[in-house]
Amino acid sequence: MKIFLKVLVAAALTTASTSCSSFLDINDNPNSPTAVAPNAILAQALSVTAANYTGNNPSYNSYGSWAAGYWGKSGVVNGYTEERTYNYSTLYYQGLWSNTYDNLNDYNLIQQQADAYPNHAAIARIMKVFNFQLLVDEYGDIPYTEALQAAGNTLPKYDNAATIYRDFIVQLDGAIADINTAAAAADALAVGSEDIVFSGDMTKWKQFANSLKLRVLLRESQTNDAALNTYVATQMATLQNAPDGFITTDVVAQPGYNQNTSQQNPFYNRYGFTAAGTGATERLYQIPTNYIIAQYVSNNDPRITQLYTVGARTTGTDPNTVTTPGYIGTDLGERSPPSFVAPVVASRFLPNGTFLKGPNAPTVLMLLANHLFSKAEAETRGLFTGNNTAAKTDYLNGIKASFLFTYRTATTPVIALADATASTPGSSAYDTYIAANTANPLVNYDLAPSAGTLGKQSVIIYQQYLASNTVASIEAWCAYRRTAQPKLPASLESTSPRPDKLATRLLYPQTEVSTNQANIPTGITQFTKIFWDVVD
Amino acid sequence: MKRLLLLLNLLFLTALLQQAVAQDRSISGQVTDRANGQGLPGVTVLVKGTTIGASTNAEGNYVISVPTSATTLSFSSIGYLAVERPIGNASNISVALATDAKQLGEVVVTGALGIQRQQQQVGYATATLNTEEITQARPTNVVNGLTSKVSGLQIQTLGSGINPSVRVTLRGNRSLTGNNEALIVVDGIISTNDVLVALNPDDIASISVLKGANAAALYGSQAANGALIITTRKGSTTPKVTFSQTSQFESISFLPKFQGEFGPGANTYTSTLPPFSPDNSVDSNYEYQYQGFENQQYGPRFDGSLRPFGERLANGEVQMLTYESRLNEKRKFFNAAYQAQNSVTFSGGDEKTKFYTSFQNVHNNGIVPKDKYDRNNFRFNASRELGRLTVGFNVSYAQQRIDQTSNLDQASSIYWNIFNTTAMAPITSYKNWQTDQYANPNGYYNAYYYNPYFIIDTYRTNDRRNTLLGNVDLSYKVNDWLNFNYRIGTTNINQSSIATQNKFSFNSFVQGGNTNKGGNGLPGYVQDLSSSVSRINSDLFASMDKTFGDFSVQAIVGNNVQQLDSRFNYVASTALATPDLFNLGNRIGNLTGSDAQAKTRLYAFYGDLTLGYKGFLYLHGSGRNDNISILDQNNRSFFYPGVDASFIFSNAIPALKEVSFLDYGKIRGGITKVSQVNLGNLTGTGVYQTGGAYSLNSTYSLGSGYPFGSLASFTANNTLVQQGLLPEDTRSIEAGIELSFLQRRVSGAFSYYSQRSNNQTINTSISSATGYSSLLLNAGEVQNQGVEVDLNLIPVRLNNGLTFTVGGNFNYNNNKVISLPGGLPQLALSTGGNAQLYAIPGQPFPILQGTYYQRTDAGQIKMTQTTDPFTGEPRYFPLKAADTKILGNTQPKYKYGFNSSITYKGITLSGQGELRTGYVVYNTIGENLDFAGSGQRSVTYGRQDFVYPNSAISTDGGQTYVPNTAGLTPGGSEFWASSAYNTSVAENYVTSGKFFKIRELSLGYVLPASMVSKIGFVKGASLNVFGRNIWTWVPKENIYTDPEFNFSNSNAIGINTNLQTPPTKFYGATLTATF
Repeated sequence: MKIFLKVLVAAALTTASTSCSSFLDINDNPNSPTAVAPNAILAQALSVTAANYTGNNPSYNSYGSWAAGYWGKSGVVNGYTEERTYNYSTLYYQGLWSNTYDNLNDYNLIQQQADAYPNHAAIARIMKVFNFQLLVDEYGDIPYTEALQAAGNTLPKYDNAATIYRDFIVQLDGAIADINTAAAAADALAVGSEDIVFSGDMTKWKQFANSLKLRVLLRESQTNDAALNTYVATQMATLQNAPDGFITTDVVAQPGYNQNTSQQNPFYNRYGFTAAGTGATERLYQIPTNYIIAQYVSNNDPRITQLYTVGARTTGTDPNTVTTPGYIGTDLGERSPPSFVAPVVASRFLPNGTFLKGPNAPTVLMLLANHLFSKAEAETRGLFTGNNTAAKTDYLNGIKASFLFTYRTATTPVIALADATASTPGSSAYDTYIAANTANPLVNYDLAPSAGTLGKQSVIIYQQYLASNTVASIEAWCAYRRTAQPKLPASLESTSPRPDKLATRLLYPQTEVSTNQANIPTGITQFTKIFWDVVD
Repeated sequence: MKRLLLLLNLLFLTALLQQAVAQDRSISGQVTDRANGQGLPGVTVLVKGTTIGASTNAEGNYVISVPTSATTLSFSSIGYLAVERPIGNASNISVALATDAKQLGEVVVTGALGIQRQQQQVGYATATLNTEEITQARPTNVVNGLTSKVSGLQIQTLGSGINPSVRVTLRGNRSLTGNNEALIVVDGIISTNDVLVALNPDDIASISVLKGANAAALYGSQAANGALIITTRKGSTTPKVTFSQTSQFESISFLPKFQGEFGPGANTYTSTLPPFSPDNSVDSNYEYQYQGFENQQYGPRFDGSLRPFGERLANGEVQMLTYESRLNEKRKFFNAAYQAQNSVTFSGGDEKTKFYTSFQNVHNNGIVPKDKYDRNNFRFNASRELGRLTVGFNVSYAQQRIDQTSNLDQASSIYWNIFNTTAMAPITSYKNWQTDQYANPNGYYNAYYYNPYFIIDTYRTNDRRNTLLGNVDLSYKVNDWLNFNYRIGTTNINQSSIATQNKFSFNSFVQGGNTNKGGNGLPGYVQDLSSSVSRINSDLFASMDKTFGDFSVQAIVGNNVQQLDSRFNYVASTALATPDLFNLGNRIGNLTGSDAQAKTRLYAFYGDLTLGYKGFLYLHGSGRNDNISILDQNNRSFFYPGVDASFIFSNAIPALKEVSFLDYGKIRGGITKVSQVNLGNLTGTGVYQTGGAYSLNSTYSLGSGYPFGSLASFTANNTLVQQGLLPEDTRSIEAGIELSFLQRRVSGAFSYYSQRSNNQTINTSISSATGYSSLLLNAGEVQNQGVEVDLNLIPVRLNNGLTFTVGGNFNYNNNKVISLPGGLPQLALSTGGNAQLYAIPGQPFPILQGTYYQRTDAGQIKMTQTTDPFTGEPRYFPLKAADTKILGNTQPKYKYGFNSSITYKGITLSGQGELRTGYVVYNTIGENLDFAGSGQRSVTYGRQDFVYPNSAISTDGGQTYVPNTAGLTPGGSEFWASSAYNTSVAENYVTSGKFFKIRELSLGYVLPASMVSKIGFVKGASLNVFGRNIWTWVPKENIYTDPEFNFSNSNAIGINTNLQTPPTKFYGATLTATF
């Protein structure tokens, strides 16, 4: 018996030992890469940021559109309870948190290879600020210094929102310096077509960084914190004369959107039409509020023709039916909001209009109009030099930039204001608007009321509110919380205890509650304010 | 298998019987199997009180010479109840032997590697079922024949439909997120759960259930969950052809309780709204209570008046219907399904050669109209002895074709659609949607959901699966105690599936927005998936079996090699260019697609030793060393041992030998460790499975939408992996006792087990602020403790053949999560809904946790005050709490199986029942029914405002609460369909999972040989009438569905979904003829 066993074991062991290591070394993943170079990450990271900002499910834009009073619920859908009551749960828009951090991780991975890819890393550094600011503005204190460390720290602590804001400026200055250093190095790898925003033009990235600095500083400029105010004033003074200046066009991302599944402009895909041309699921779910419609109609604002379809109201019965066309919206929280069948046909996003330019339209990262309104605000408030003279120029340019954006088609390239001519779509409508409102203090800068050190901040924010509608709604929502302008109405079903009956922020998401509860700041409700939100 | 053993037994007996003394006269006769009337070979015929005996030949005939003093003959055979007959003057004595319900001790157990041991030798828990026990009620899926028959075995049928999948677990769940399903072994070859639906039940000779790791350790790490050892038929020495035909009918056993009182309408606070528009015009703008186009059913009470149903069509017509309930239309919509099974088997051979071949066709029409399932099975098994070498092979091929409504999502779910169809709708009149203007999507009444008949024709899935199982078995007998075996086998499954949606465009009237129907139609698509999985398993082992005086030694040493290969290709279009042509070329837009492949390997060495002493004490030990490719080099080799012992005190203690009523008694115990690598065997794309390959590194994938032209770009995926992952360890101890009394009239077994699994490999959720959302790591510990009891009684066993048996089995399983990684408070097993499954330390696993209402200290539900916008009166809603709470465990703690049979003269009546209790289920469909307003719950208060039971209201803004006696909660859709106050509150839809089912009831009749023989060439015939799941009892609170149903095949058991069809029952008949 023994001899047989010995033979058997020996035979088995021989076969095993001769081939074992290679027999088991078959674990190289044939399906997915386990390492990728920064230039193969950048485009995706930028398009995801743009999609999170404007049209993904969820997006900052859609959250802002409900919160800032642009959108109401149509009659064809149930739900939107949280939008109507401000009775948020930890699940409400929780994807913003995880999607943004997920996106930040990709930028962080690019940054980790800064030695070989200095320009890519600098872009990543700027975009990290862009994304972290979105998070701070909706959540306040967030993981920042201990964030993005992968398995190195799975329970990242939360940093103070104001402290994070200070670091944004450091990072943006750093990124500009990095770009300058890379430009001086002959062997620094250039950025190519993977830059779907500026096609590798690093000067434009520096301008974008400066405009972002202005956004950051202005947002924290209205607190009662003297030290912070001094800091902002100092930073602003330097910023105004920054070597590369500010953005001169709308900043958009265009990876090559086209009418194909997963390749359409994200807002168009979610709220417009599918790649097959059928209506998207959410196309009929939201309609404009009566409030936003009134801002266009009562000020003879031609932009509304580019935004919404014309609805209709039918009165009387057969055969004395009278149908009156018009822009028909809703009051958020209204019991029976209009749907799209007679006798009340609601307005909705206009196909091929501003919001649904087309499946191939680029996505917005920063509207030139918003930048110019920020600049005008800094000027009228004395944070930048130039006073109301400069402010008025930037204010009017801001309105004009909004008109050019509103009327621009999906495929027309973005242009600087200086390059616009009388035949550029939107130019003549802008002239009409200004001409029709010479006596209107909501349009005419000179007639707009001035409020002490805030100057004509109110009318600037008002015009910014119109420019941001459904495109960069989150900016209007931030501006509202900072300045309490304009006086937008809350939902009729509001349960908010605040004087304005609105909410102020999102709750920390359920995913964070279940994974990092010990670090989450306590005592937070949806009515707690972000540090820069002081004015009510 | 049994036959083969009997032959061995025969040889042994022949030696014994050589001592027979002088004989006087000769008696002959035939011994037959009472179940089928066929001759039984190898039956021992003994003259009682002597050693004079004979055994029956292949046809069951015997001749014995007996001394004149002989008075009684006894007939015995393993697996049958022994029978005694007085001799008298007879020269011919024929008997029919009945199968022994459960012979303990002498029953042969097929253990790991197909090696057989007598039950008395094993120190672990097993159960063996033969083919009759499995197939008496003609299940098409072999495993369904095991339900409720073995303690500790849980067969969970996850849905109904034409080809439902099953989940097989033994002794609860050990692994938190890894695999807990029993290993499936077919003819000694490790296979996969997917083959269960592809086996012909008629091919099965027996199924052994190895309940714990002790029994199965030789199969390696996958056997930590126990194993099902399936053995197919081998052939016989007499040629035999069997033909059987089964026809069975399937019908709905129960539907959720629907309401038949209120019609369509979606308005809230309707008390001041007029019920109908005065001129019977269509209310497209929600100004009245009734909207004939609504999916929600919160309209006015049915009153029998004539009302417009749906909206006005392009031609101005509108369907007018009496406003009444047509509730039985919901049930009538589903077919009474018919299923046919035709099977022919042929077995034959001689002493040295045996073969078996079979063919089976199953055709099944589902309860959903136009659903079809077809299966063709072919098998050929053969073996031949060539001197000392025995060569055998088994090969089977199964072809399955499924043609069904897709049920992929709510849009294509028939069940969900039925929920959203008012009781007013004459559903079955809408069959001809192509020609009937009110059935066509352009004119169908429901503005928000399609006609279910349209869905059936529009969303189709065609799935084809070919399963090939094959193995070759070489056995070389060196001498009478040493054998060498080599066995290599493969399981190959190829699947190809096409899911289609037809293109449909609304007419211009609808597209023009003249109705509440949104959008412009369906774009259509083709989704083409092919996948395959192939497993190769090779075993080389030597086994010895030798007795040295009082000691017996049985030993095995061997080597095992396994390889898994799997891949899939998926290509899809997202819009069709023209309708009705389902080709990838007929499309608009790009193709989308993906593919992947995976390969894993393993080799192992194992040894196994059983030492016996004097036939009453056995010690058994085994060890196995695995080397597996999916772990990193330092951790890929691991060893795990096990020991057990069995002591047959009825043989050991002389005093007990004399006790007449005790036949057999054994105690046993064992301790084992098994290591299992649970790196997440990702499945879900056809039959593709990764086997855990490539899990050690984080990966990147192409960003959504990329590549845009030539621009490809990647994103880091969200999973991190701990370096140096180790296998999970499961340590189990078990102990048991087996007893048999009164000549096996009473027999029973009791087992206690305790298992602890640690080093669990868990994909934990981590803060997304890390940049990732999950981390795969080793940690966490789960404990399972339980008892299994089997008891079998034969209260009546008469010489005239009347036998009555009753049996029962019981399993109590208590499992608990001991710890989770990094002190994690909980681990989510599923995500998304209002109630989800978790692992929580100190709690059973999995545990259901969900949303609930805020309550006062006195337990009353806190109400919030609002105002009826029309009347201005205050109204109160229950307040949902912001967090979630534990709602209960979802694995049954107690499982009881019952079986009973009566046999008399060829007639057998038998039945099986099962009771499961001690757990809860979450009825997602309850949320759906309340949302739609079609369920019974939504009419609890007749849609009137009501005082919410056991509630409290506050008059000081929520500081203090007083019991609510008169504050009214609105009774319409503002409450019942409200997600804020009702449908998103999980505690509303948790019900006890308790059920009692009559799983099987069958009445079989074996035609007497005298009758059959007149037909000439027919050797035997039997008729069997049966029913399955014919009666289900659930507690009153469960107004939803079968608590066994589940939304996925994962560890997250206990949540049902509308992507299913209603539970069904079966009844039918089988005719079997042998030639």
